[in-house]
Amino acid sequence: MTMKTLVLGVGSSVLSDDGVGLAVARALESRAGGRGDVEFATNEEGGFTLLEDALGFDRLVVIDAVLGAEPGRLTRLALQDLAPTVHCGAPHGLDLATVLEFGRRQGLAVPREVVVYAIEVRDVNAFGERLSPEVEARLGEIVATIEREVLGA
Amino acid sequence: MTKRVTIDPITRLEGHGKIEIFLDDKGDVAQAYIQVPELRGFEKFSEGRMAEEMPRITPKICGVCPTAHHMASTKAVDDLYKVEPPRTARLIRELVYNAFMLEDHALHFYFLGGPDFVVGLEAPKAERNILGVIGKVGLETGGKVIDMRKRVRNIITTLGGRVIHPVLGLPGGVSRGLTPENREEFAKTAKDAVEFARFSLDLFGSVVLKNKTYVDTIVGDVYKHRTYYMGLVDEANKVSFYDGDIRVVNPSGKEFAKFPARDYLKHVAEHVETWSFVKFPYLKAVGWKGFVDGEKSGIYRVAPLARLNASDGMATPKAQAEHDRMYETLGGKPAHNTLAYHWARLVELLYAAERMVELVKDPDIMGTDIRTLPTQKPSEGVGVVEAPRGTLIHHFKSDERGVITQANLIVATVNNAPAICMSVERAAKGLIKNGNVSDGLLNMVEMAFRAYDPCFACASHALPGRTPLVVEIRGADGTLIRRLSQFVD
Repeated sequence: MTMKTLVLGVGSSVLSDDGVGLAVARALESRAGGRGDVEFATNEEGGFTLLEDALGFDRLVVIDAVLGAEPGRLTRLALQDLAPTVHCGAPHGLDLATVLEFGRRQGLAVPREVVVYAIEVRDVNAFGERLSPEVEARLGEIVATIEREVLGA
Repeated sequence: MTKRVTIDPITRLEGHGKIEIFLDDKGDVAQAYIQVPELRGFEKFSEGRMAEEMPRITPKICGVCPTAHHMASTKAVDDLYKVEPPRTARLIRELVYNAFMLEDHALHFYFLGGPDFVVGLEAPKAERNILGVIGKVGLETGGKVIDMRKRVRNIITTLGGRVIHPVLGLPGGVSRGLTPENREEFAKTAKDAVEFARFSLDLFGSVVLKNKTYVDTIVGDVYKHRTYYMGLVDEANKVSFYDGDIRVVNPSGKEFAKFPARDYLKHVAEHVETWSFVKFPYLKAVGWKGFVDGEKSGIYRVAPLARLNASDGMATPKAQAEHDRMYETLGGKPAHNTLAYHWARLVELLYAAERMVELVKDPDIMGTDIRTLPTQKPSEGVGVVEAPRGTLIHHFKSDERGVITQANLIVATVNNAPAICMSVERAAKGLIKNGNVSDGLLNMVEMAFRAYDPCFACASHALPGRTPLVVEIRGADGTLIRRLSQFVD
């Protein structure tokens, strides 16, 4: 039984650096696509749909932007590093850990292993379809790191 | 000199709501404000794009209401090209739209509003979430919600391509029709959706309405504001999600105004406060009187309860019966109880399901004429829908080639911003005295806030991908006295 992996880029493609996760997932697909054991996808909805996308995979690799001080810096996180909120003020508040736990309790085929890659960005509220130069400059290095760590290239 | 209390996402995510509570010298609440972060540069981003691209771009603004934006844009582009879609196209659009409303309302009731009622007002913090909800209602109900959501979303994906990037709406029509197989499947989904809505209302009845504490909370003064109400209605003044005129009623329920979406700016103005990016809309004819309710204040509300209040009822029989039952319990129409938004949302859930049944049955939905080709030169167009969170308007101007020169969106939650301020303030006033903050503050403030199902993140999904509220209590000199947060420590 080979392990099936989903590489999922999360973000918005019209809010500049918020789309970095999508860009990285697409770049990974163009380099490593075609392998039978890895699928690539993007998600611009978040919330409950993260669970729906992840069902049936053994391993989930999420790539997303995070507000931070050093644009383009990559941090690898485990699910438990994302402190759960008790509950939320808006629909966006259904966070990854909560929806996956919900799926687990419902007896759904939730991935056993979850890796989260957070890429620091400064601004996710400005409309635009391009990444900022600082983030763009580090894209190659981000893609290479994730490819090495999760795809064993 | 006022003190200040801030409720703010700990992540500093501007993409979410932020509440600030100012205290006076005595340490009592002076005023509460909500900050809705502004996405910057939409106008510029849109300039120079083809108008027919807008229905494919605007859904990407928000992962929560993509279909609402898609439909508002589509209708604005119809209007821009002065083209009337064939009846078949309108039916298909309305079917997709009601499927979306149903899915969104169900998600809210079970996963977002549910923790307040199903789990309990006094339940420990760590259980007041969706995991607490399924712990209480059982896995079978959780399964029902998942299954219903999946099948309803399937209607949207079948007809619209992907849920988040629908490509259904075109100027003057839609991009595809229904096959007989689609129709058979959708009819079954719609029929089951009616059952699901009934089940949800029954659950609400047994969990909430049979519990005296809940009912007292719903009808209590803390969560009550006499305001104006706004919503879309059809020719018979019944609630309508996809199309109609905007109707406003006064706090006594009398019609105050009724107008097409394009006249919106004649009726609504925006009040600006120096401390906030948020523009607070109010009714021009009444005027801005501050954050106060009553007939003399121009503050109005939108979204489920407001839609029901602003109408003469529901266009489908089962929803109408539930509408009547709700108002009977609440002591007449209009109802001013903020927490009744949750109930009204379920009445709308049933309406959306019944409406889907009607639409799928309509023989014209199988028509082959699904698009009227535009022949007129485009110039300006306005489109409106009722998003789950209230009236949503898209307004575009273009040159003769259909290239966008100006774009403006009036999003649903902004309409409710003044009322959310009042509701939060009311909740805070009971719980902050002489600078002492009760532990229940966060829950109370949150309940007021969440009843409106606000969406401030018409925006980003950046990690951690959630909207925690954090309360910061500030002294008169601005120093932080205390911080309360929703994170599990």
